[in-house]
Amino acid sequence: MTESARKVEPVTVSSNLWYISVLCVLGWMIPGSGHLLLKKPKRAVTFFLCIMILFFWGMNLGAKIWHYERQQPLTFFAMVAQTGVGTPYFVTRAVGTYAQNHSEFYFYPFAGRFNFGQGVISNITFEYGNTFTWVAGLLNFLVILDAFDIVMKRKE
Amino acid sequence: MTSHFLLMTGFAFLTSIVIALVTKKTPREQWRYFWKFFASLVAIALLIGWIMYPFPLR
Repeated sequence: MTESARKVEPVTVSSNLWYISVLCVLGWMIPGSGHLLLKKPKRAVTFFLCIMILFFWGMNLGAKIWHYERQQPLTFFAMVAQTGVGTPYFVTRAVGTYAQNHSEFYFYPFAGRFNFGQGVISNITFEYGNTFTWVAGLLNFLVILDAFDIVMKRKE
Repeated sequence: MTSHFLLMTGFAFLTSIVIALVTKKTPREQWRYFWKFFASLVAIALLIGWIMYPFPLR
């Protein structure tokens, strides 16, 4: 088969639609899990570790957990970038909210590091933290697209 | 840790790994691209820092 013929090879999207959807949603919820489904464990573990380290390192530096504020529409993009990491974003947000009223909670000190989701603006590393968490989410979007390309046979 | 340089290097390191794995196919290409990307991020950050050095903070 020539190179040009290989490029136009049709991909049966409709038959794999459920599989592709599960792959992308799972890949979003747990970074790297899409590649794990595709039997690429080394890549999966590397993606998982890199994205998790970036996200939790960012939170530890005092990042804010962003959510949409109508008065400041640009916060929407910050929220979308952070939600890219999937489950860790929602877990961290829940931990921050819960720990605020429960000082005996095991993760209270961790939640205190990012001021229970409000971020530590006075911290010199506040903007670093935000950047780390945003980029972690955006990288996970790239990882999901990579898994999508593999399942569509555009990439190995 | 509040060292700006170490934070920036750590960020560049982790980001470069993901970018290299996503964009290149063979391990050799990924390895080469990782170093190129990592070095570029660190070098450009240092260069911009150096250019901004004469500017006052306030």
